Amino acid sequence: MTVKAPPFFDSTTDSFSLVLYRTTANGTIFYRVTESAVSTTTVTVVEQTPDADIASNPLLYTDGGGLENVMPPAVEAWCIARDRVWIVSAEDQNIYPSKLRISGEGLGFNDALRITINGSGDLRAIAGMDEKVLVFGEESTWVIYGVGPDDLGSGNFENQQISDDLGCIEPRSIMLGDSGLYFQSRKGLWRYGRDLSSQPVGIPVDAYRTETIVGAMSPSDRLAYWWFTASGTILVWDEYHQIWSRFLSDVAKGSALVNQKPVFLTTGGEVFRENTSSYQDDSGNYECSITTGWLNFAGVQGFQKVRLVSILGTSQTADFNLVVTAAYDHVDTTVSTWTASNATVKPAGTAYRWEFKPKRQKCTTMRLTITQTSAAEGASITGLAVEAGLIPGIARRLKGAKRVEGT
Amino acid sequence: MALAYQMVPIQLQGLDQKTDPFVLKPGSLTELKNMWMDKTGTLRKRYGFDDLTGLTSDTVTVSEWNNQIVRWTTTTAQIITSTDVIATDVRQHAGSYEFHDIGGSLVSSDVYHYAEGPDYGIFVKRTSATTVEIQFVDLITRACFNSESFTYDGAHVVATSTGVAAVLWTTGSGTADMVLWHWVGFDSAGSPDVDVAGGTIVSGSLIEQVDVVCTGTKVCAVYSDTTDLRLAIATVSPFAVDSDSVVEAAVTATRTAIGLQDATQGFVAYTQERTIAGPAYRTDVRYRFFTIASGPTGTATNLVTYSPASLYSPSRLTVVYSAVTLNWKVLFDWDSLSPITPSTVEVWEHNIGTIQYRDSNVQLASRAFYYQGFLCAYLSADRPTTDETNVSLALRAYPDPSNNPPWGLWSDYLFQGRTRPAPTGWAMPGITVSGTSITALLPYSGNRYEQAKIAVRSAAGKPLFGYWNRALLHNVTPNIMTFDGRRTFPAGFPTWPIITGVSASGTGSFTGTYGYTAVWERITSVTFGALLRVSYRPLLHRLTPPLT
Repeated sequence: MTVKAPPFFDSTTDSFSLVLYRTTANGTIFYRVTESAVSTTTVTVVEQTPDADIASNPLLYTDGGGLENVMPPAVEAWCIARDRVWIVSAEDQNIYPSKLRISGEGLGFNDALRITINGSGDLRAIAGMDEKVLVFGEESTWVIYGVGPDDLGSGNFENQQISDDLGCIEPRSIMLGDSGLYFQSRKGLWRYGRDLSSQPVGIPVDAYRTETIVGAMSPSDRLAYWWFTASGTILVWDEYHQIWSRFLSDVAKGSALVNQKPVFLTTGGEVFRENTSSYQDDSGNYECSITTGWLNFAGVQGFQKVRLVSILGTSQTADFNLVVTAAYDHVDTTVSTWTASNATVKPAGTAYRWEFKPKRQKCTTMRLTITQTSAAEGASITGLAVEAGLIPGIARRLKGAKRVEGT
Repeated sequence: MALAYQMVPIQLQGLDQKTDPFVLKPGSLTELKNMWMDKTGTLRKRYGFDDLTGLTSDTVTVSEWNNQIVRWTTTTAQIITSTDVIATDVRQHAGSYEFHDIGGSLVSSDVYHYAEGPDYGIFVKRTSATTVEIQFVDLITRACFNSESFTYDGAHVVATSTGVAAVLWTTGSGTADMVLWHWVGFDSAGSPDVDVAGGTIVSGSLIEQVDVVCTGTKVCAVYSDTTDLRLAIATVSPFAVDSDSVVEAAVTATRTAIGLQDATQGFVAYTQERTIAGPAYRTDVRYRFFTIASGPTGTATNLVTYSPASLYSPSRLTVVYSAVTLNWKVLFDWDSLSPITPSTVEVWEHNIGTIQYRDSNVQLASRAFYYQGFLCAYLSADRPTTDETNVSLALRAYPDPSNNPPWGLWSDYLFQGRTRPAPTGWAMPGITVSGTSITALLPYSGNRYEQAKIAVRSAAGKPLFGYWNRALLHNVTPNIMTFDGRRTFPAGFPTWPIITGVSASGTGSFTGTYGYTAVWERITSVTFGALLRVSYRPLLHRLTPPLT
């Protein structure tokens, strides 16, 4: 018997074998009989094993009704879930779960396992969560559940639409977290909880709703989820504390989590990896800061006097340099600036409390920005406190605003 | 009355850029930049990022392998932490520029390969028993362009007996040259190439549709100079132009192909636009033989009349033609036809399918090609109109015709896909074929590829590369890869074994009817791949006819 080897065979890197299965005389069951290493473009097999000697040999995997492995269609999206690989066909928008994954064997697909979701339209992403598989259109979501077919094709999956206005627009945004499955929808970053309830977790960072997300990861040592965007902003969701922050670095075009350390590739072709011993980006200092909202202790239109501001934190390193600026009455212009250097704080590793008296105290609102730019970590910030007195009555007219008298 | 002051604690919260700052709760922040919450209530500066590759800026993607970062460039794959170059076989796989391993030239104990590179250059790789050297040859620095206005149209690179040669040509307005450059060595530092020789084969013409083949010492190039179809033959080293002859006068070729039977003779083939009645876009396919010593011989002859065609000719000429029924013909089989003369040309013809199209504007893909031993061609390439939303293309592969008839469908398609959203403009799906590599990109809008969801690249059984939104992906298995924008995974085999012969011999005690199934097994450790890093065994099989 002569068998043509696959032309893609490369003897220097590949190790293919051609395995022949054979029936016994007039039989229908295929038994494994020979295995031939492939080293040329054709393989000639001489098979003379007596029938009696092959009866205990392994059977061909399709004997007994096992589904044959066939090539899956081109893929729009895929995921791993429930011991299978699931793909969304780019060809016909059907879903092709693989056969059950068997350790040591390649993945197998068969058209008999195909799932058609009626009315799904274009599907964009697919992801597993617990016993469910979620399939996303751009503005719709389905869930697939059930045990599914075995490798003989027996059994089936069920599917159900769970949303007709919420979907996923970027497969790279999908990330499974403790609280559910995060994804970027047209409405921003949302989450399907484990109970399939939808939650708009990304509302606080809604300004980044249209950003192109190029990667997502979860450094497990921080209970946080990172989304790398094409603009250079890394959106960070702290699931434990339920807070958002954003990191600014070079513009990313790809990312990977390696040894639990975030790694990203810049559009300039450079590879950046987080260094937990450093507080510089590529040997350059970067600014970190917080900015409060407009602090109005007397209410939205109240009037107040702030005579003392106190910052509590820990001096992580001795060489920090805190800069606090204040703006007033809904005007962004900085009115006051205070600076605290290592000469004014406690030594490294100790708590500090830094207070200052604003030169301007009467105001409707006050906004504080605390900035650090240094090569080291500097100071952590645990809390703010102000001493404020409330001045009775409605606020004085805002600068630039006009009073309109009613009748 | 003295004002009553009170202490107002502000418990720091997170970023909230959705709430109007006028009414934001005191602890919520309008900016929380480069800080994270360590313990509840405490904000700390985030950690820094190190640039791991120093001055390099040529990384095209990163991936994780065995808890290490792999940095991929267009030519190498490196584990960044050690800067070690990954094993040679992997390195050969790296990058978007695949080296043509099968087309390599053996010089002494070294093998030379080449790959098309960016910016009008090529990569040349020399593989010895112990080292692999890769160098980029900047063709611009060769000063081969003398046209004020030119459009570089690619390089045909061929192996010679002493190295690698590239035949360059320029197109555009004004005059242009076709130039041969020849590389026969590397310097030890891998800096610019050495031992470069070459010269101008043809000058002063608008040169297009070049195809090149090399006997080892002679480079033969078919080209169109807008007036005639011509054949130039040059000696590689020392450089000399031996002849430059008309293959057929007054022919404007739209595609050309050239092939060799041996070091003394070969053929050229070309498509000629119709000059008689009929749709203007249709063409004839013609061919003519030549010898190295004397140039074209015999007369130009029609192979296929009145059919748009795609030509391919590594060692035989294959023609794919027809706008409605996709056919292919194999013109020559050098193995079985020797010596060749027009009278001994054997033409095989086989209908490989019917084009599926939506309207009369269907166009065939620009090329058919051999890939992994199979003849592949677009079977469907819907030409969208402004109200169409999908563009699909497909490849259908058929067994190598050298297996002789009967032929049959081998695989429905290698890939298929579509654009999203609908392109606003139209261009034929792009596909390039280099050696055993194929690169396919989906239709694009204007000059940009739009949402190229699936496009694959494979080379000599090497990894399939995927593109997604123009981002290059890398994988190292010979299996089909799929990708969702984050990761990829291999999926089975692209093909399965074919039984080319089954026979019974001898007498013995075997009686009855026996059935056979051949199965490929590949026990391998996938060292690079986003998902599978363990040994696995894909199985695909094909039943054979029973043997009685």
